[in-house]
Amino acid sequence: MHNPDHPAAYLAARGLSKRFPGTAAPSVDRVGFTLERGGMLMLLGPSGCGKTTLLRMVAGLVAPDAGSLLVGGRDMADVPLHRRNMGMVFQSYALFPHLSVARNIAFGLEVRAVARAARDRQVAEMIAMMHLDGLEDRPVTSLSGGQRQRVALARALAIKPDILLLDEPLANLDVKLRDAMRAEIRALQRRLGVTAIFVTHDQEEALSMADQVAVMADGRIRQAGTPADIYERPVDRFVASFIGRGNFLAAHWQGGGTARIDGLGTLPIPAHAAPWHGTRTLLLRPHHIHARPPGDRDVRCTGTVEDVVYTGERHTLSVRVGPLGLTVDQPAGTGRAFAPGQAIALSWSADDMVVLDPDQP
Amino acid sequence: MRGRASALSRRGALAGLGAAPFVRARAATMPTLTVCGFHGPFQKAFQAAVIAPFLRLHPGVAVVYRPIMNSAQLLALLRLERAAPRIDVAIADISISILATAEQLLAPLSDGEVPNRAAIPDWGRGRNFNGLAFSRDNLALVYDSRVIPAAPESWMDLGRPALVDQVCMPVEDTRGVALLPVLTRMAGGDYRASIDPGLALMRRFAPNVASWNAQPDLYTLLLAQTAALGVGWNGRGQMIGRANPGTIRAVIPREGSVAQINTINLAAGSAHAALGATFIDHALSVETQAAFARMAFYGPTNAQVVLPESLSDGIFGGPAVAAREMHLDWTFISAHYGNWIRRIQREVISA
Amino acid sequence: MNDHATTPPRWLQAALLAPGLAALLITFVLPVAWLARVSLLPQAVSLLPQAGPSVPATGLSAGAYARVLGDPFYWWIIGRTLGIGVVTACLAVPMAFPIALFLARSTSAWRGVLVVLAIAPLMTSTVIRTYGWMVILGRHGIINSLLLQTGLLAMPIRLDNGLFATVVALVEILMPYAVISILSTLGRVNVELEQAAALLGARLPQIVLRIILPLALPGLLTAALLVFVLAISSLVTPQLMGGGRVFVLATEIFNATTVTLDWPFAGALSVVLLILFGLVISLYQRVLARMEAQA
Repeated sequence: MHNPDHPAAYLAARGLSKRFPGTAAPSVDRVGFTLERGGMLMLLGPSGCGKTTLLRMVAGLVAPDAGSLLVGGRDMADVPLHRRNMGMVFQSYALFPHLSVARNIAFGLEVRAVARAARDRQVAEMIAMMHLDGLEDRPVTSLSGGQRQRVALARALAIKPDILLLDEPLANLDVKLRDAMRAEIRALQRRLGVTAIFVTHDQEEALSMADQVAVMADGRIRQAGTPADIYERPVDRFVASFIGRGNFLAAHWQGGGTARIDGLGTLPIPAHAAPWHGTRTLLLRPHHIHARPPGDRDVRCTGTVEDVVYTGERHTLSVRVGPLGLTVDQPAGTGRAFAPGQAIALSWSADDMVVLDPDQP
Repeated sequence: MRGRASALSRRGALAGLGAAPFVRARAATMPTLTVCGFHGPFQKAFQAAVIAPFLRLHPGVAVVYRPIMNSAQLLALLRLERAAPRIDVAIADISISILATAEQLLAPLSDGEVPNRAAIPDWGRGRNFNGLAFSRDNLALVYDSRVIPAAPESWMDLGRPALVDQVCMPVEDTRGVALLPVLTRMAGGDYRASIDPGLALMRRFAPNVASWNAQPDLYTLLLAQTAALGVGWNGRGQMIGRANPGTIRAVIPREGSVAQINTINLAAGSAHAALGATFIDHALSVETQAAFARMAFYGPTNAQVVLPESLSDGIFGGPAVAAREMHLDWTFISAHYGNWIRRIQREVISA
Repeated sequence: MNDHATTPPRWLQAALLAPGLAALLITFVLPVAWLARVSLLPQAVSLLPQAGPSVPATGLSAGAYARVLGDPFYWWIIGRTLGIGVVTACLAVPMAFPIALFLARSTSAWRGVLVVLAIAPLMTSTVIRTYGWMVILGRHGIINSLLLQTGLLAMPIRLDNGLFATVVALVEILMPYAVISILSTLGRVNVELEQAAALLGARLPQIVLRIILPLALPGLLTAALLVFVLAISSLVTPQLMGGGRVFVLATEIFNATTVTLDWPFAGALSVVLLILFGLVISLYQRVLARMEAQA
């Protein structure tokens, strides 16, 4: 069996929908995506966008109203939970509080009646892999957040799942631990070659970990693609503003590779931009704008620095250009410093501008 | 009447107790007499046959009926209210009347206060109780005429082989205590000497017994066809039989039966002693006694009452019943009451 | 030490506690004290008429206790009372557990209705329930008719009016208490644990045995204690369903109070029952503490 639409896809969702009783709008609305074997998909979106519901539909914890899910070509609709062979890491970890670390990890093997020797070997492997050595017999209630996180991951991986599902697994950890775990999970997932879906509301997490990112809003996937695709070529203003920061400029098609931009006048736009009617929004990322000395021939516009925020890695400038306020990132350590009230000239490459789709209703 | 009552009627009795103070308050403007007596059919008959005519004769007076579940509860109330009695007139089983008199809870009554006292035979105005006999009843066989078409004649019918698991013998109360002397005499013994023969007979009936219980009561079990025959009170059985024609009947067996006597008493320290005595005199009058007998099938105690033959035949005092009457020494029985019940529990029911 | 800001002033604590304490004093402490006092009265007050004019006697006597504890019959009654409590608890809790589990995890729109149905026995009067059991267990009842028609029985057997009927009715009437008690326990067991177990490959029986039962065990114990205590103190059910054969402490207390008027004896039996409660509850707390220490 193979899926005719996506011959190479290991995991394929089509038209998945779910509306909970008593709610006006569906939580998940006709969502489809595909994922290669061994790939990692990040489901990214603000809270309430339906990403967790989508994940739970994949897991089988929520029955979809419509749509289908295929894993390796097999329709999962009638596959009961205990036969789906999916490992899930819950946001709460859902560790069994009455069992020790080792018994938690062994649980999936015990209920599958894996022979004792094989089970012990596999648990030991997981303990070593997750750096839980010495904690085997501790009750999980006595562990720190990070340790619990590892136990949850080890428990999910111990059953050698076809698909690993992670529901905001790092949300309850502190920042430093989170960064470390991100790298570790990513490395582990690659090493084990397990196909994974990872739900997060943290765009940095999404960009840094994924093969594929799907940005969700209001129950739908707005855009799916590689992290670079999403960041550099967002399709609309929602995606552009959810991932990274941006300057949004109202533009009118002028022809000849130019557009009239409110507040800036007629300027060149990307050469391949298709013509449009009325007003469209152009995205210009703050790091694509360069501060220039006044008089430079590449200058697109001039303005006044209103505010400077120093983050260590960069200066973020708020620049007033006529009626517009633009955000500009300057790498730190270039030796050039700006102060509020100072005049500034700005330039950018026309091809760095992205013409966004009209906002969805 | 010293026994258990069904949960339902107990609730009714409690509701009655709760309501009493309010009724009292409403009638506070006129002298109000509080009469305490049994709940259920007795109350209904008493209100219609005794209280209603009394109110017609004494328009300026109010009477409140305070229902109780059994005589033991009455004794408890009298004790609790010893300092300030709220009960003026009390109906009680004779054994309780004896106890309450001994505890000085009941006031003596003279012929001057209660002229009808003279019409009560000696057994109804004893030396060891201050009250006067108001009504009499008999221990009887009560049966379902649908199952047993021919009336049983003997107490031995309780052991009829055809009635396995269909007999109700509520003997853990006064009925058992009253039945023991009868059975003992049948077996050739004397209850004052030993009740062993009576207990042995009771044990012989045991295989037939579906329920030893007073709850749900015999009459309910008969109507529900869980039991076909039982030991009950004649008056109550006849009353329920009249209400459910063609089902329940009561009969006094040929070996004789025991009388159960209810007394009417004036509470010691009653605030309406004179009115209470007047009420008691009214309750013992020929007219009232006849009316109460017609309504409740209880035998009258006023010797001058003449009942129509159709009625007197089946109830206490009538010639048919009188011939089978067995007189008991209730003072003796009261003293052995608890012990006898314990022996019935152990040597009959648990045997 | 408590945070000063979150601790109400002492007078307020006292004021808040006062109504509850007063109610407890009036409805529990005083009656129990009175009961203990009555149980120590000399038997003579129990109203023997030959004693002549008597006022309630004063003075203390352990006679009532001697009569209870010196009589094998009452030891037998104490044993039977405890036995009925244990059997009822052992039947009611396992039967209530699946019902509570179903209700706790049901997402049906009818869940509310089902919860009401599960506790419906509490809302019918004892008398009505008793008649219901007569219809089922009676000589002409459903079970006997069925057994007679199928030829399994030649004669009807007595299912009503006895120990069997008493236990059946006690289980029925006390099961709702167990359901409610277990329901609240299951409400505190995170559903995600069951989902996690299922995704790890556990079938429903494995989830119940390995996850839900161990986590709900303290709640099940509480439910068992509740049922036990209610069973050994119940009066009306043994009275109505026992056919006068089922002597338990409660029926004997009732008898001594209202039939034989032996109040010191009733008081002594009541104190025995109270002591049994105390013993069972302290046993329960010890078991619970041990379970918590292990967890």
